[in-house]
Amino acid sequence: MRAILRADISRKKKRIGLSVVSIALVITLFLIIEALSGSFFNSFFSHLYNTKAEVWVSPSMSFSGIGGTYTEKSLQDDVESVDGVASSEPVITLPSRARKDGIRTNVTIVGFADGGEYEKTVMASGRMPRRGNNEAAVDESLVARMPGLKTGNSVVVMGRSVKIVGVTRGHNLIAAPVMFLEINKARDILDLKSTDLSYILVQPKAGASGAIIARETQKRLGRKYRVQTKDEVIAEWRRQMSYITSVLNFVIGISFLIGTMVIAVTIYTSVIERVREFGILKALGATNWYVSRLVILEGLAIAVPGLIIGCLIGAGVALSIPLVMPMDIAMNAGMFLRAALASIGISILGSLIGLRRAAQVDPIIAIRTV
Amino acid sequence: MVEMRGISKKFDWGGQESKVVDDVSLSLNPGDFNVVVGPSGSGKTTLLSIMGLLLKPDSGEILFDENNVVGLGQNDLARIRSGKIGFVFQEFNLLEYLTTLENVLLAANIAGEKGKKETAVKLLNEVGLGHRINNLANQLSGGEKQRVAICRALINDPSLLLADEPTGNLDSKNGHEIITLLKNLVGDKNITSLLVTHDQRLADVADVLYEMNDGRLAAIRRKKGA
Amino acid sequence: MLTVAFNSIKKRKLRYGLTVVGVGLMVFLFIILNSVIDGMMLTYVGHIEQTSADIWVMSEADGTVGSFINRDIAFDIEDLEGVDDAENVLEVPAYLKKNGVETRVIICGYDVEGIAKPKLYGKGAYSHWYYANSAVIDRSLLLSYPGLERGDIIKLVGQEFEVTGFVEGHQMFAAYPVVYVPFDLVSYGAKLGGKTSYVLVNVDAGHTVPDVSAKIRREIPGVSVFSRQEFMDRSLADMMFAMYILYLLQAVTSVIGILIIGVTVYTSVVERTRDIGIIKALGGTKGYISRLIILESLFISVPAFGVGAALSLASITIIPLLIPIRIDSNAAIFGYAAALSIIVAVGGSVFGIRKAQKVDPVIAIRAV
Repeated sequence: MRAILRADISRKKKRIGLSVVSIALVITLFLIIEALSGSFFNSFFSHLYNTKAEVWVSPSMSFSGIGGTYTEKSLQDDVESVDGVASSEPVITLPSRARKDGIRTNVTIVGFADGGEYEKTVMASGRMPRRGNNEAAVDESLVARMPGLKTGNSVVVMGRSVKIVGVTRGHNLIAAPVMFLEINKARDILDLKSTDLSYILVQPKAGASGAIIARETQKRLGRKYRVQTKDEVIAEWRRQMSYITSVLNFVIGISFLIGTMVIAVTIYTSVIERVREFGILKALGATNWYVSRLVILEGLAIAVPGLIIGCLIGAGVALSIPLVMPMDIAMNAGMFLRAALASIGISILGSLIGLRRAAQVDPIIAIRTV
Repeated sequence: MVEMRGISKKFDWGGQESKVVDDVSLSLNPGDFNVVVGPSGSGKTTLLSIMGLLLKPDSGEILFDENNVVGLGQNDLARIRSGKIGFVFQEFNLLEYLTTLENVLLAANIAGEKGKKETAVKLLNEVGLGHRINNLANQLSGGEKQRVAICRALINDPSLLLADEPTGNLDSKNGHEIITLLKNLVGDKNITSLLVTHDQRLADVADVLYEMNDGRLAAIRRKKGA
Repeated sequence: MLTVAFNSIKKRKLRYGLTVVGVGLMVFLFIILNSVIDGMMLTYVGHIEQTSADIWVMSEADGTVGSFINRDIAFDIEDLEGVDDAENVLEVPAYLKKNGVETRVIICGYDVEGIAKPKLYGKGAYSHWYYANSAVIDRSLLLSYPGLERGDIIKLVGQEFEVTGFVEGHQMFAAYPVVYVPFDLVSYGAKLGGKTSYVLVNVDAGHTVPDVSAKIRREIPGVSVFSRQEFMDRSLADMMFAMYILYLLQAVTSVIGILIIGVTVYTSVVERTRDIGIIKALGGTKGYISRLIILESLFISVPAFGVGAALSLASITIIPLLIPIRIDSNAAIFGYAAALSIIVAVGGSVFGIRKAQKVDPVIAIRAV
């Protein structure tokens, strides 16, 4: 049987080659999209992932993180009076623009409280800004947009010049690098009142449950405020972006269909060419299963090399994306496993039409002359 | 022992029905060289196809060792074809891109038989092709191809050997060799056989000779002891 | 020649059909991806495009959501020479509440005496009174509130509003529907007294936009000034990465399309070696044979374009009814898709043509 397959493939090298390349491209597409989806959210919301607070309190009126500020002096006291709360701090999160040497780019300004959790932010270099000075720390992803940026430089925000004293790691919010300012400086630059803030971040005591604290705090503060655990905030943001995932999944689905068509055409053609051969085999007593195996093997002979080549190219392209775009791409075994399953699925589905035709071959053909 | 009882088959050609095989009954004994002759269109190839389980008859029974196989499913028929029947075609029907040895072993592979390589080589030696076992089939002459086909037909020790115009595509010399080969093999291995032909030479060496006319079969001659 | 090409296809209907579907899907993907890209672009710049203002004045954060400037700046601007009119627009993200369902929207507070209001969809009206609780909403909100009609009451920024009209195609940031409410009510409800997001400026006849822009920059400190085009470009630049990715996807699928046609046409040539040999023996030139093969390719790609276009039209109608995404297609996209189909046809036939050129008529005719 192996001999039959080998001879068959070597006769149809070019056709099989073209089909292999098609499948490879489909798998490449799949892997690029998978890599993007996986890293998409991480790159876009890495700030959320990296913020240590367990519970986030914000006003229910405006969306978390897009331009909401409010003021409630006693709010922080109310929050800290909830059982299990270790500490809380006010934070301002607002989108803005930074300018340097004619380059303008989006940034997300995070105004953090002196002595709060943010002071422990992981730095790539330098330090976090101190109260009272025109200082800022920016995330390293800003460097991609402003080449040459480093500690000691200044950027202009809202018409005010601000000195970079540190570079952070992994703080991106919706594709805009985070710029950390001390909260009063943030209020000053953004023209906010001295009591304005976007969130109150809450730290539970050791051993206390974030979820329980969130519920208690919500009850305490009432419907004017939105109290969520960090996971809930992230999930909400992901939901907002889910339409992008839908589009990407749609593209994957269509390209799988195309891949299936490619295999279907190639295999069906091949079966048609081998009708007489299959007839002889059946006349010699081969069952439908015997003949089917030959067809399926041909399908796999396209899908497997296509998978391997596709994985190589796909991984290559996906891992080079960060060179041109401000994204972190990471690939894992699961993606390749899914690609393999997809490949096999396409191969089997695509072979169905050919299989049916092969099953229909009447062994009497062996007797009939051409 | 292979038997056919009351076999009939009709074909529909462009609206006109024609009884190609008409109520044929036939009993074949092992070791006999059975030959069917008849004019073109007499139905002998159809009869052979029915016996080889390639065509389903409209009525009648086919008995292999007292068991009626008409009405069995496709897979069962395929298994009988691979295990019990050896077929030699007029067109040889080798797979051109396989070697001589591979073509013979193909039948064993289909029947699920393993370890038949020695048997295959022995058979090929018997028919005088021991030196050609690694040649591709498309490198063989017509006579050589038919000999390979005969080996393929015999590799699984079939109880029935069928041949459809085995000398039809061969020249005189090769044809003569094939006829001798077939007759000897059938006798030596005590196989039940049925051959269909135009070739008078085959008719001359038949142990039992049948004639087919308009779908009906008649035995013309039986050899001594047959 | 048509008969020969057509005949080849008739004999292999199933394969032909599969190839047409495959290439049709490729065309479909192309059109949809482009339409999605266009839709995304429109959500970023559509509302700028549709507004007739010549100049946009905003905060130094370039008008990012949540940044505001003093609304009195509009008066200062109006006093400048060359300025015909200046009006305030407030953009505030908020939650809309109705029937217990909460959705995110962008409230656009408009100047009731101004002209920067988008065209209504069907019947309806904007309010002409400063404190009227009237709201004009984008139709995409019907996804969350099916059956919403004029006259219904919705809750925004702590107040109740009556729906007085609908607009079409006003979504921002690719998904948030816009709700138009009189400026003063948003200002009050969102506690943004004295603030505005943008001042829209119209330039007097006889003055140029660059001149007036320069004047505003000189006289009014602490603001960013963009011409309409500059503001659109800047908004688009923010989403370039998404567009690059979608273009990459398109390129890959186009190549797949070429390959799928290539496989089919190549196979067909192999099957018809004898026919091609005969044609050559009868004097058919290389050009004749090439044309024959390209014709066969076109027989695939033209219907494929039809299939792809039909699928696209269906999807473009149905998808926005299911997910809140803006898809915008136009004749140009279909035109490019048609051109792509032809390119794919010709590209795919290259494999087949090369094979056909190699056919030796003598050998071919002898073949059994």
